Amino acid sequence: MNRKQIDRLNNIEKEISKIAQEMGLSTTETEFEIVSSRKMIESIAYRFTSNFSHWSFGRDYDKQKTLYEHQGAGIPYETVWNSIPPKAFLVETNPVILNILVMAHVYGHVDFNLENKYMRSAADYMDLAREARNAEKRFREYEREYGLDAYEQTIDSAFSVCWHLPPDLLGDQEDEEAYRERLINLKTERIRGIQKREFHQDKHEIEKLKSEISKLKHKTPPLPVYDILRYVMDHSPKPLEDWQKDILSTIREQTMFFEFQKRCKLLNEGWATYVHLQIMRRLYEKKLITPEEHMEFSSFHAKVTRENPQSLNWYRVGLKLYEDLIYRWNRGMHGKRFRETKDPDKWTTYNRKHNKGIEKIFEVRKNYTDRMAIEEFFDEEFIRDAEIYLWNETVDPQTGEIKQFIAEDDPVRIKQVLKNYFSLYGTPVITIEDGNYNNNRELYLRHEFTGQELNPMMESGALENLYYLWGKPIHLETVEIDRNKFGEPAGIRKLLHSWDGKKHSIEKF
Amino acid sequence: MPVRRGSEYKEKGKRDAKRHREKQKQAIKKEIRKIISESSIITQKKGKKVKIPIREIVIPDFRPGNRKDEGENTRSGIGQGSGKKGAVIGRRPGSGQQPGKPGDMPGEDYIESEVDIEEVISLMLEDLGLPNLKEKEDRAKLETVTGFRISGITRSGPNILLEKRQTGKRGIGRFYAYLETLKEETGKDELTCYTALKEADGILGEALNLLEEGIETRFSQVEPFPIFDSEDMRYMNIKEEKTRHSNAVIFAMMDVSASMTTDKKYLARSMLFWINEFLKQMYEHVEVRFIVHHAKARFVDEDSFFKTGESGGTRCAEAYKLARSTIESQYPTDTWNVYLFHFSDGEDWDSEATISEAKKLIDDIKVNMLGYGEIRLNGRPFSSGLKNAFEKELNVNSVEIDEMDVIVGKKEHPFLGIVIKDKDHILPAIQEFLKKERWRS
Repeated sequence: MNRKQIDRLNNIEKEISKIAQEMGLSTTETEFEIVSSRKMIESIAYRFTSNFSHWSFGRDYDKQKTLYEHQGAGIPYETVWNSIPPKAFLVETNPVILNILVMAHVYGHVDFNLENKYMRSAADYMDLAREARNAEKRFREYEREYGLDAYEQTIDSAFSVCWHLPPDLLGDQEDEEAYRERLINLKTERIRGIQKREFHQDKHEIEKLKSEISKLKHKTPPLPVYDILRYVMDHSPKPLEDWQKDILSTIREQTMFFEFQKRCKLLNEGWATYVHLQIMRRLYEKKLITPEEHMEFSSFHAKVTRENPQSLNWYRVGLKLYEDLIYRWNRGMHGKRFRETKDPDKWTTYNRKHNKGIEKIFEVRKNYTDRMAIEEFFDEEFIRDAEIYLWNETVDPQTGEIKQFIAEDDPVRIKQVLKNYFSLYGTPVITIEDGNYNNNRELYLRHEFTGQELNPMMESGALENLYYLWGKPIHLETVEIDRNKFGEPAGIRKLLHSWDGKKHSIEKF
Repeated sequence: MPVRRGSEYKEKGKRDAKRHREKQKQAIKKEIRKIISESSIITQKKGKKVKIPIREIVIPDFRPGNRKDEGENTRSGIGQGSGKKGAVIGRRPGSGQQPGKPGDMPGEDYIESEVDIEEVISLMLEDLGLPNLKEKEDRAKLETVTGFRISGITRSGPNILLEKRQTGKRGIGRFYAYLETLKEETGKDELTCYTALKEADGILGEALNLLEEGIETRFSQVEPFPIFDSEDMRYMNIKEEKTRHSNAVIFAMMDVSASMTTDKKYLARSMLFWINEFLKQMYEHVEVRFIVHHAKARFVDEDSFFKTGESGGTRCAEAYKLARSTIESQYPTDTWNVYLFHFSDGEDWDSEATISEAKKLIDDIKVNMLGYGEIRLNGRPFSSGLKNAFEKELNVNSVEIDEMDVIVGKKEHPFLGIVIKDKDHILPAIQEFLKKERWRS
């Protein structure tokens, strides 16, 4: 990219900022760095502009590179870091129009990250880009000092369980003793409450509470915990060394950061796509981009928003959601009165001229997470219009190939699955029930059944990795679905899968 | 200015990517038993490469799945498109489809990769070789020269192998490209741009800054110097070259009688195929002779050996006899190392004759080794089998190795018998047959 082109990008960036403000978006000074395609690929693989070293990042680097090399001209990736100030990359060898598109898109993200309740808390939470750079230096020392094997095993093991975070990311991170004390106090208060009563002093209830208190005094954790890495960090009998705790804690914090982003991914990408469409249109009207460039932009936009048969295209579905909201709220197609006239023939002409569309999408981008938006706005019509389906795989008995086919196109069932998926994002609920199982400081985990079994191969590996961090036997209570001869679910059965460092055993209840 | 050039780039991903590939290689190694038992490898056309689907390594975690579906790891997901229920939206290779299924390797995405047979061999047969190999007089002595050969140019390698001419050419090319860019962008004359580039040690961004700030021309002519980017580096590709001259001969003998079913023959062929491929790679001048037998024995060429299907009764002694007479006339053991590998299902009409022939080979002719593989599918005990006869009549110890019954001749009696019961025994059996240290004093 030559000086002239950089100057032009700078001018257009100013213009984009102005348009964004006219649209009512929040803006802030944003750093755009022009980098080589390889650096962009690397930052995608490493999740940050720089991060610690691990083979899994290398794997992703290789994969991204292969994808890029097969893709031909232009890398329509955008990466923006929700840091202060926000930072984004432009690829040196991309066509200028693509870099303009990326800047417009990034302005959408910047606004979303500043305004959305959830993402704001994430930004307050940590400055991860800098943290990652520091982690790189510290971790390099660890690898040198403690050897590649221990270094990799510690990171592998942390990655194995890192997604098991507390459901409320913003909740207090109370330490176990304080929490125990609080629970005991609550129960003691209740006993006092019962004792103060003149009548109905329920002796049985008091006994029950007392025995609960005495259990609480010794039990770890006092109540089941979701935050696996943190519990392991604080309580592993192995014991973990300081450098290992540092690795666990760094990976946990990075995962928290991504978890915030995950929970608003659809709304955030949809918003940025909506914003870039508006900004690019204005730039064209202002003749800052040529008709040829505008054509080129349209084809990139089409590429980014095309339907994806195997996964949810956030850009496409997110954009469609905002467009749908604008349409419906402009015409007043919502609320009780609308639902009562649910006659498809009348819909096309239904228009109460509310013109609240734009107001509505600004509100959604401010107050919603993906799960909330799906719950509220993904109705049958929307799912059908967006042509969302669920697919499954099966082995083709003739060729041995794995065949992917549409398994469900009924919007009602799809919505249920989407709701589940967006509350857990594919991470099963696993809690630590007991950190002193068998009175031997063994770890007892419980898988909360929400309709799906666990992948047994992965489960074994995860238990082995957890053992590496804990140093004592690991037990996992999970379930198996009993099936009738037609393969339909006929009940569930509890299993206890244990790994003692040498062998796996599965006990059926 | 909010849009600016980024800092220099260090290509950190490369090192971690290399580490991932190493891990994949280790994973293949674990799967090698299955890979080598694939029939498609030994029946394929000559010179064809083996295709092995290599999966990326995945960190195991608790994720939804199907407990009954252990092998196949089928997935499900959300997609968009106009299809109706039941419509097929894509395909990917299944594990039953390709040779060398990396079965219990947790994995998702395939990267199909082609691997040479040589590579498979080097992975599976590390540290193996012909046991009891002796230096023979007269003929060319067994020589083991290991050298290197340059074969082509690659984009990565150690510094010591840097191809200076190629790299230099590219470096100079880059110099001119940068000089042109500077001229074009700043509109300044060539010598000024050259001065800036020289001052900036070839870093384009810095040269631009210098020109922007204003710089005096300091040179009267352009003297190009190479500017290197990691993309410009070229290295010599080297190949290890083994030059070995060995006066060794191998007799590969296989029972093709009626009782040798397709499955049994397949196991025998697999073993001999890999032994043969390995020896060809390891020893340049090793001769291999192929004998098939039922009630009669005859020599065949390599191709028909791996394809012949015959029938009839069984006299193993015939094969041993044919081998012995050939050794006597063509491969005298004072100048040749002689190895025999024989595979049969153990049904022999005249095991006494076979034992007497075996004794002649071992004690009179003094071959380096007589290897015998008895293929017994379904683990059926076979009390009258040839292996049991060998066990009684030859001077051997019986042991169990890797769940296989093995009989090993004592020193001076280089006989090795192994009972092979299924595909999984192929690799460990080959490893036993080719254990270099056996019978070494």
